[in-house]
Amino acid sequence: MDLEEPLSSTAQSRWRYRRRRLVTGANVATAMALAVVLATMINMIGARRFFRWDVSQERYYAMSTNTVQFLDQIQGEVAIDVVYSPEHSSFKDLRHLLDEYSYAARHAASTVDLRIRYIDPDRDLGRMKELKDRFGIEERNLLVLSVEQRRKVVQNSELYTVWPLTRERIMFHGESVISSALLNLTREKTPVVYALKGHGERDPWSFHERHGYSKIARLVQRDNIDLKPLVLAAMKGVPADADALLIAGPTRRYSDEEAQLISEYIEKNGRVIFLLDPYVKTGFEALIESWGVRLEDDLVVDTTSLSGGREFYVGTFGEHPVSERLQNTLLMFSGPRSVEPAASEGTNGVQRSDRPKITGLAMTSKQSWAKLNPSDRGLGFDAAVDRRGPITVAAAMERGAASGEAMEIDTAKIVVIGDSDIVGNAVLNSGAGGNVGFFMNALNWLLERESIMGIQARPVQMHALTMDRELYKRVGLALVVGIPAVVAFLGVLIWMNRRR
Amino acid sequence: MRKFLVMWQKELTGHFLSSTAYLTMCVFLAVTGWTFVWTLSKNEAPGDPLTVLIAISVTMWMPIVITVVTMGLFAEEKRSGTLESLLTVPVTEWQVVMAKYAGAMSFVVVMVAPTAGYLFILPAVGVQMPSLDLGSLLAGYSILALIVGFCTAMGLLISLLTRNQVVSAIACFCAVCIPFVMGGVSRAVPQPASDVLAYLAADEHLLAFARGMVDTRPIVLYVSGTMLALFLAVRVLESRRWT
Repeated sequence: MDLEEPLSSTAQSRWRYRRRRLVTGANVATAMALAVVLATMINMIGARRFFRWDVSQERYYAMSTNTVQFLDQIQGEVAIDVVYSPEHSSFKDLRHLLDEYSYAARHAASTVDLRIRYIDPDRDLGRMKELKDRFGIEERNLLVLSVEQRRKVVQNSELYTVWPLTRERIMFHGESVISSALLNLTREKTPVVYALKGHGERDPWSFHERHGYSKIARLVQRDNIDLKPLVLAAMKGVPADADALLIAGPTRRYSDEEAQLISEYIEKNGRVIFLLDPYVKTGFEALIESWGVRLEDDLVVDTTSLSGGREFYVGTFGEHPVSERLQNTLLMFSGPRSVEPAASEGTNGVQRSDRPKITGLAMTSKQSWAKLNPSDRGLGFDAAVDRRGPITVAAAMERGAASGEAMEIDTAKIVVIGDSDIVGNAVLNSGAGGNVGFFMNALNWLLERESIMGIQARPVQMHALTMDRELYKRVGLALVVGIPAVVAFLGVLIWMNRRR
Repeated sequence: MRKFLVMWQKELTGHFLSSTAYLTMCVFLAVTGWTFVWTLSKNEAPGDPLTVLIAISVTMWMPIVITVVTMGLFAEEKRSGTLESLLTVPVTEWQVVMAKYAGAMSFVVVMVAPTAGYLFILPAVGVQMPSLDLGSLLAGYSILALIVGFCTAMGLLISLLTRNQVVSAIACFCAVCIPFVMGGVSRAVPQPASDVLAYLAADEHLLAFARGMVDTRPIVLYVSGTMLALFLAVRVLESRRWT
């Protein structure tokens, strides 16, 4: 009994010690767990409520006041799908810029819900399929902006101005392009464009390699434009919901009644884009001439033609919203006709105070000429009858615009292009210059799809230093040897000091 | 506070009076300088700002530096048995942990600071440079200090969990590497996982700040992370009194 008591006391104290350890351990573990939970919560709040400041000297990606004010006004869900590989040369610019959009939208006065998704076309196959199913988009290197079922695509080529020969990027238009696309998406109904049929026109639903218009039609539809066919004779007029008409390369003449219907439509502030080929009498000659543009029965020839054929590049543009972003870009024409603004601007406007405003959009080089009756004398220049370049091959006409105002209201607009091949499948398959951009600009101008004014393009920042081999040597010597040597010297000094 | 200062001074003396410390500094500055010159040569037009190139050069070697500095902070004391005697003196666990942390941080800051001199040395040797972007430079080094602070606290905690320096070094290197590779991983996975990983990506934060984009999210992350790691370290040290 005497021996058992101390043993029991030892076991008791051991048990007490274990219990204390257990309690302490549990206490420490609880404190640690609580600390982890607290840190997680702080970060979750921090991730939702955050602030950003651009303290850099240039504030390159900083939003303009116009974009911030615009984001303050829009509401609802807006999605931007960025279909770019992270290795793409535009990805960094887009990522940084869209970070700013995201931040501005988050702090906007409105209830806009801007959702930005980055889709790597090589890795994120599920989302690529979703894009294809929803919008029919399979390409990469583009932005898809969508509001409900409306969408707008921004191509990579729209983001930068590049020198045509070196392909060097000189200006970044990211903010103006994205803000304008958002503006159009959030403010407009889907515009309806009717493509006229029945006179051998180019068919937007034809995949024919040479004559089809399926490629440009797909791009038009992708840009949130509803493209519908129209047989004018059957409808006895232009439908009321038509925002614009597309008359692309008719090969047979329209009747006087049909031309009259088109004329009446234009008179009621209608919008038409004509793509008219040489040697074809379409029945619109008088109508277009009444607007101040002469359609000669000619063929434009340029000595800068490609491989001796009828194709040549045009790189001179007039000052107009359709062509303002095309500087430093080339358009490929394939034997166009001249679309020359007449000396006096239109008989239509003679009695009217609001005379049409005519602008030559694209002009050929001085080495070109307009060949009259080429079948008689070949394609060579004949000083007696032919006209020396530059020759206008595309023109825009507008009546009713009040000059000096940022927005045009109730104006009639016409674009005439002297070549229907310019956006045919054959030319688009060749990947030719800025033809698509030119056509889309023309369509957007006709539809009055606004762009946010006052957002400046930014010159592409050049950070790379110009250094020759000798300079690299000097820099290497200073940084790889010089700085460590100073530290080593200090170390030796301290070591010697300690030895003393 | 006085006890903390005394211990901090002891840690600083330990770092700055050892030849190993100067050797580490020399090697770090040499390899960082070489990396910077290499990135300069690869920085084709239009290129990245110089502050970003410095951030890349420093980041590349940061996991190794932090591992070297922190691996022995407690592991060596535990192996040699001096930790027990340290805990018997009238100092709190907070003072011990903070002194070790402040000592290691001071050493890393002193080691990294000369890299800011690159921007002043380049024009001195005849390189034509754009004007100095002081805002981006300060932002870049501020976030670098916070990242180093967080990684050092993690290294200190790991060092406290083991008595073997090699194990401590391997574990510390792996732990410190994670935030620095998170940016690459986040680009390889789809959203929303990439958003979560990008939130933790030290490399992305460093590059963004070096461009001059100051964001409160990484600041919250690193300050809270550092405080958490130090708190856990104190609790772990405290629990040793009861074992």
